Amino acid sequence: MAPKKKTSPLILKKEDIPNFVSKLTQILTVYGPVAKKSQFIFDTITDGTQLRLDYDTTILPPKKYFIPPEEEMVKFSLKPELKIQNPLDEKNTESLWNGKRFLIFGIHSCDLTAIKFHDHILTQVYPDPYRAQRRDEGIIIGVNCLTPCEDGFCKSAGALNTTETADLMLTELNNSYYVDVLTTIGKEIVDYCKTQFSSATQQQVNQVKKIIAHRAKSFPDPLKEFQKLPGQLEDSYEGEMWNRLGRRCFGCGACTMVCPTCFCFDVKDQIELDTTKGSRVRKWDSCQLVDFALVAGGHNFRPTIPSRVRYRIYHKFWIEPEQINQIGCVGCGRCTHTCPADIDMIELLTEIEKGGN
Amino acid sequence: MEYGGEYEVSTENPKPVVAFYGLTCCAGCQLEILNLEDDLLDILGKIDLVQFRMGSSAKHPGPYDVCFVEGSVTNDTEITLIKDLREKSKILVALGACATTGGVNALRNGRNIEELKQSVYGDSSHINTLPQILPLKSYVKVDHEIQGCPIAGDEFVEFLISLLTGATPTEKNYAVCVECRINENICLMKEGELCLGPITRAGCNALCPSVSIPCEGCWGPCPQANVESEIDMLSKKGASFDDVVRKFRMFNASKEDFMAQLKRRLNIEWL
Amino acid sequence: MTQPITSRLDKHAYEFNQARIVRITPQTPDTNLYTFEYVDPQRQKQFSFTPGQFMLLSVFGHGEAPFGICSSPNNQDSFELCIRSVGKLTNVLQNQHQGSVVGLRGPFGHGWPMDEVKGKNIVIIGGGIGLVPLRPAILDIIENRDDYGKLQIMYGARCPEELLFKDELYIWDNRRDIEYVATVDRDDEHCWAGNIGVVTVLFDRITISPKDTYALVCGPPIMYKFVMRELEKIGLPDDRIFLSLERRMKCGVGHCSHCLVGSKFVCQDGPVLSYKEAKTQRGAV
Repeated sequence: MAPKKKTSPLILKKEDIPNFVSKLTQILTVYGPVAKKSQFIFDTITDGTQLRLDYDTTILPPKKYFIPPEEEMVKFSLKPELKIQNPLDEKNTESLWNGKRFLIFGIHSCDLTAIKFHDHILTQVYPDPYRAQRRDEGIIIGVNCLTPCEDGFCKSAGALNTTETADLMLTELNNSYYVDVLTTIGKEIVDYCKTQFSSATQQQVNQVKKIIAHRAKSFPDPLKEFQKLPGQLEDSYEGEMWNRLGRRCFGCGACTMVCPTCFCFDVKDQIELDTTKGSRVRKWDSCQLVDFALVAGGHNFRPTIPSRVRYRIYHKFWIEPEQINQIGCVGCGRCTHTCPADIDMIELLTEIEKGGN
Repeated sequence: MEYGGEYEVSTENPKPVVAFYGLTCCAGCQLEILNLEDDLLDILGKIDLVQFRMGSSAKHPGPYDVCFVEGSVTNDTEITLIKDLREKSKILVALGACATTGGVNALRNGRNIEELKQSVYGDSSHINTLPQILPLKSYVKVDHEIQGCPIAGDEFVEFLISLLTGATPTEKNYAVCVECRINENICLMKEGELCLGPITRAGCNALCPSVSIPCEGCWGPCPQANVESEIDMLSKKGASFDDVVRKFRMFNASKEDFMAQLKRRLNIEWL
Repeated sequence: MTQPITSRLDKHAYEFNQARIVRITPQTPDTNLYTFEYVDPQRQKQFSFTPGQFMLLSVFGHGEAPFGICSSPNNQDSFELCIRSVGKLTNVLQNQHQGSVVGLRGPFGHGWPMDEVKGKNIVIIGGGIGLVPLRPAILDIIENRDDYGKLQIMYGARCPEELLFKDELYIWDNRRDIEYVATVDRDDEHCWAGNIGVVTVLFDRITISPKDTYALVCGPPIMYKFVMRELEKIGLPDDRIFLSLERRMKCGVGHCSHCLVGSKFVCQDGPVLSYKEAKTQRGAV
């Protein structure tokens, strides 16, 4: 969906952002980072001044707009006879998708990488139709992160420079944002709000190049051997480190809830109180929870905390590269940031690099 | 009667006869049901509610299809009552922390009951009370437990629906942390608070942490609760020995294996 | 800006089709054989599958779960699922009756390598409910008997009462072109004249030549390790042993991740994997 002719970069003044956003809210639902006490979350933006493009990271990644924590898969009525109503059905007047186009403003490269990752992993055989719909309807404005966040290691994870999946990519430049127009939709947005944008000068183009080059050097890179992880994992599978880790880990699943690449879900039928109708919903699930690999009859394929912790790491750093040649981690550091047992992903991966014992 | 046996979606049965009883407790769980204003009329359309002291003074001798019991067994009279209710009820449901774990009533466990009586009542010769508080299931067979202090209305409604349709109610075999993250709460553990969320069963939709109050564990421990790690983390945040014990005992003093892990970890005999 | 960017997906993996239970044949006290027909006759006509593939069956309000198809792939009029009640959904299914309508998705997954085993000798090893996904393969071989070499069937159940498809077992036992042996773990009622012990005891009762032979295996997770050991002893190479794995599944199409073993989705890459593949996946066997 790249524009046929490369649109030259533009400049959007910081003071014009509220106007830009309010113009967007007239035609779209706009989401973006807002403050929640000492941290940030993505939330609905009704007024451009709420937008905090200076955020470091958010509690949940923008994944929640493509794969919501809870989503209706199918509606059914049980009485007088079984009727099934699919929310993806075009003929369905209550379709999920009537006029629900949305725009997410201010996604960092780590989360853009995660969206790209889902684009790959969730289309391996059959596309996930629910996500695919939301993905089609969603417009993304990315923003380059210029200050490393506390727990992130995006540079090591190879996610620092991702702009793919964004329609527009913003880079902070003094009192303005430098805007790369990356897709046709990006172009449509810019055209829609034409008056707010001006062309970037050659000097500004050079300045941004310099900023990005400086970032590539200055960002921390705590895991130099990242690409070797799959091999190292193979060696540490039986390592004592998993038991040590399992003694600390709560198995609470917090790390997977906040992970931008995790996509497991559980499915549950809900019947309404009148008992004549209901819906089948899918909910975020986590491989860290006791029931995840439990089959009918009572056999649990991963019955202990150490076996589940190990599985999570293997899934991200060994299985997923094997499947789609991309690790299931973008180095956003949210898992470290949120872990109630203070388990640090960088420390953990470093331990694996050292052999796991 | 088993779930799925008599009350199925497809058959038109007479409404199940339902009674509520309260043992020793604050009646907060029944109140929580009264608070289900949006659903209350629908619920009453589906069941034949014969005894519910929060809404009516009517009494019904039984038998019942479903009997909800809140509160703890604290004296001999209540032992007789719960055994009688079991006899009279096809399905017996323990409602709330007092009935499922002993709740705050179980704080007396492990203490000298005579001293406690003395300190609370002075002359306590007329107080008839048991030295130990145990969950209802220690006295009679309990078919289902609805946790919490108080219970969450939506878990009660979900159970009711499952009863009417034969569906199995969801078991939330995971910790409060899941609900906290989905609600995008700032982790209180990370903020240095003493929170039992990582080892407490979900179901409350992270009610307390969502308003910045650390979890007290009223839903009871989640499966495979990592008690050792919790103690380590609480200590790391500056909790004293007493803080940890108090925190763990608040709602779960009667949970034997839970307390046993605490004793082992802290290397203490009493509790 | 008002039109969707890409066209809507008109066909996707979460489309439910309605099927009617046309017959229920009890097999054991807790296991029934259900015969289904799609409510839409057109769909029934187009329905085809490979032995070893599975369907996701929904009883709306009670959930969805995967079940191996167990009828002959050559039967176009209906299809069968054989289901033991061990969980929420299966217990509810027990209360369904003839004429009840359920939701179905599928068939999904990779089944037994029926093309590859054409003209070869085949050993089929089933444990308990594991016979279910093997039955379409057996029926296909019997219905096209000349297309295949020797057929040996080894079947183990917990007790005589739990043997499935008892009428067919009798026929298999009496056919000259099938070598059939069976065992039960225990016989408390003393009604069994045959072998006693787990399925591996049957390796002493039957001679398997590794030459041009394929083994198709399905049973409880614990069974695989022991059966693989026996097959390796005989000298059957890994790539001629196929096994059908069971895992928790929620979507059937490689999205929910519940069924991952190593880098394989049991729902998509499996449920049938060659032992050679399965061996390299951590935690598969």
